Amino acid sequence: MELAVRQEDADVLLKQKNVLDETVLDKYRTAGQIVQTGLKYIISLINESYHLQKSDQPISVQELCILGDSFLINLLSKVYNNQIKEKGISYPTSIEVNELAYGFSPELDDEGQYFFTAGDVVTISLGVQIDGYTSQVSHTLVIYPPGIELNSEIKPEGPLLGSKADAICASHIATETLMGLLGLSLTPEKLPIALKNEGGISGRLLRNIVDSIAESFGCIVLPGSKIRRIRRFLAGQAEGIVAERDFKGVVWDESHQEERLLNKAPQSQELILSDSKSNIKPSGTNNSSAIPSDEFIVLPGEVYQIDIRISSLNDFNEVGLITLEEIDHFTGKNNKQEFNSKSTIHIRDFAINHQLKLRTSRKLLSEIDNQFSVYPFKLSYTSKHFPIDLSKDLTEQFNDIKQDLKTFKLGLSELNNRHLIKSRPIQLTKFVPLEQILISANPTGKHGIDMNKPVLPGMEIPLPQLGVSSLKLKSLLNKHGKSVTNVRESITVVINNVNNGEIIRLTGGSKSSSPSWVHSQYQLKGAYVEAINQIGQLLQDKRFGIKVKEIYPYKLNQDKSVETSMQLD
Amino acid sequence: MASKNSINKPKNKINAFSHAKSLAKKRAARAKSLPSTRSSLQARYADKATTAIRPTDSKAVALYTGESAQPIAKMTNTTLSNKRAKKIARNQKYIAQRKQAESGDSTMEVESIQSVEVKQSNLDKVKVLLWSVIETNSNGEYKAKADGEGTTLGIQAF
Repeated sequence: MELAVRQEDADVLLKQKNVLDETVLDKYRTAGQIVQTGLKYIISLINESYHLQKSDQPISVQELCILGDSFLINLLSKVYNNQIKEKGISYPTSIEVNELAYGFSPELDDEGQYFFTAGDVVTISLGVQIDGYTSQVSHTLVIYPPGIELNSEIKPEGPLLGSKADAICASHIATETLMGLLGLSLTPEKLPIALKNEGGISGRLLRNIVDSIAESFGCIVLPGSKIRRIRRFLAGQAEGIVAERDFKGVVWDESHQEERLLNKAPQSQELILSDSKSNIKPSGTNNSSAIPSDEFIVLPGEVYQIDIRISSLNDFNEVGLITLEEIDHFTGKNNKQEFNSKSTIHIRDFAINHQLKLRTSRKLLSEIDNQFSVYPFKLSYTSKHFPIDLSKDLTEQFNDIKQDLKTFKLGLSELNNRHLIKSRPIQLTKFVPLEQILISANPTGKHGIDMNKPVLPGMEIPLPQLGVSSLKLKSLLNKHGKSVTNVRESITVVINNVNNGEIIRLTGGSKSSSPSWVHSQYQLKGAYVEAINQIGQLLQDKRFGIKVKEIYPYKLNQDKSVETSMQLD
Repeated sequence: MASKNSINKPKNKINAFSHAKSLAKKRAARAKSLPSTRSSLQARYADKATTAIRPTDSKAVALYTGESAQPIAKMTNTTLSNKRAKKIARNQKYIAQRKQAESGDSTMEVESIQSVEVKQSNLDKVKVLLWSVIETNSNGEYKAKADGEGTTLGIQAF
C-alpha cells in the first residue's frame, strides 16, 4: 500500500532536509557520538565481566541489551531538548553470538541462559536517530579465555585463529577500504590507477572490491550485507517491510553466491550469463526504483551505511551457499533441540489502520505511534521503569520491567495479528551444500515466496538461475543446513562536501571499536590488492590522503556515568 | 373482426398493432445494418455465437511461443488458455514428427540429436555447470591457499 504525499511535501522531506549543512551535520555528529559511547560502554561491560572477571556472575545478553538501551536513552535525554520533535533508538541494542545473524535482542523475561564462552565472536549492534538523522554501528569482538598478567595488566594470551579470524580480517579490511573508496568520491584524482577507468565510484566497483577481499580470505559476503545511502528517516530500519523509493546501494543476497559459483565453472558460461538478469526478473517491476541495482555512482554530500557481514567457508570441504534462516515458532519443536527464541524487535507499519478490540492494545498502539514513529522498538521500551537508572540497584529494576512486560504481551499479540506492527525475525546463518540443492526435486520451481523473510523488493527469489524459491531453500535448510559463524562490521559515514571536503566517520573506528586480536593465515590477493593497499595508505596519510574525521565517544567514568561536558571530535 | 366502416371497430387495438409493426421494422433494419453486441438490448437473449465481441471481451488468440506468460504491466484482452497452449504444443510436436517421418530416416537421426541439444533448458545448463563446480572442488581447487605471513589485526589487549 502506498501513502499519498503531495509532491511539494515529498520534495521537502526527501530532498531539502537531506542537503548537508551545519545543523544537519551536527545532528548526525551527535547521534554518532552517542552511538560510539554506547558501543564503548557495552564493550567495557563485556570486558569487565568476561575478561577481567570483576563480577562474580557473568553478565547475560538480556542484561547487556537493556543496559545498552538505557544508556543510549540517558544520553539522548541530554541533547536537543525542545528543539526537535523526534529522537530515539533507531536500532535496539542487539548482541549476536556466532551463528546468530540478525535481530537477537532478548527481553529480560526470556528464559534462555545466554552467556558467552571463550572463543565466541560477539556482534554488538546499536543505533540512534536525532530528528531522523541516523547513525548505526555494528562491531564484532572476540571473547578470549581468561588473560595473563603482563606488565601489571591483564592481557589475552594469544590471538584468535581459524575461520572466525579469517572472517574478522576480511570484514575489517572491507569496511576500511569501502570507507576510503567513498571518501575518494570527493577527490577522484586520488583514485588508485587500477580503479581510474571504472568511471567513478560505482556500485559495481564497491561490490567487486568487497567480493575480492572476501574471496582472498576464503570467505563469503552474506545475504543482507549492504552499502546503502541513508536519508532522513530512511536508514533501512524497515527493510523487507516497507519498500523504499529511490533505493541507492549495493545489496548482497543468495543470487550473487549462485552467480559466483557459475562463474567458477570451467566451461563456457556466456550462454547463461547473457540471458540471465533480463529474463529472470519480472519485467513489470524492472523499472521500479525500489529494486536495488549496482548501476549508480556515489556522490559527495550523501550519507552511507556500510554494513558488511562475512562468513568463512574454510571449515567446509564441499561447495555450498550460505543463507539466513528465520527462527519461527516451529523451530526447535522437532527432536533436534535447536535454538529457539521469540523475536523481540518490532516495527510499526503505518500503512495499516485497524480499530482494535482490547483496551491494552489500543493503549500500546498509541504509545508506539507517539514514541517510536518509524523506528523499531522493543516491548521493554514501553515500560514505566525504562530507562534503567544505572546508579541504583539493577536487580530490582530488572524485576520491575519484567512485571511491566507481562501487561503489554497480550496487546502486542493483537497488534501483530492485525499486522499493525511487524516483528523482525531472528536469523541464523546456515550453510547448505550445493549438492543437496542440485539433487533435490523442485517440481514447483521458483513459485512461492516466504512471507516471513525480510528481503528487499526484487530479491524474493534467492536462486533465480536454479529456480529455487525461498520456501524450498528453507525446507532444505531444515535437513541439510549447518550453522556457520558470521561476523559483522557496520559503520555510518558522511561524505561531507561542505567547506573543505572530508569524510566524517560517525561510528566505528579506533576510538570505539578497534579490531580484536586475531590472526588469519590468508593474505589479500586478487585483482584489486594494489588498489586496496593504496587506499589503506591514503587513509593513513594525514596531509595528502583521504581526510577522515572520526567522531570520538564521550569519556566513560569509572562508575560508567558519562562526563557531561560536550566535546565534539 | 369488425369491418373498416363499422361503428364499433377496435381503433386502439389496430393503432397499437400498426405502431408495434413499424417499430419492429425499424429494429430489424437496425439489427441488419449494425452487428449486435452482447451488451446491446436486442441481443440480450441472443446466442453468444451470433453476437459481436465487445472490445473488452477476452479473445482466445493462439499466440503460442513456447514460453509461459511473463507478468507485464499492461492490460490485454488476448488470452491463451493453458488448455489451448497444451493443445498447440502437442499439435506442433505431431507436425514435427510427421515431417520427420516424411523426410526419411537418414536425416532424422541427425535432426533428433540436434533437437535434443536445443531442448536443453537454461536450468539444465545451470545444473550441469554447477555439478562441474562440485567436481572440480573435490580436487581441492577452489580452497583459499594460505601463503605468506598471513594477516594479523589488533593488538594484545582486550
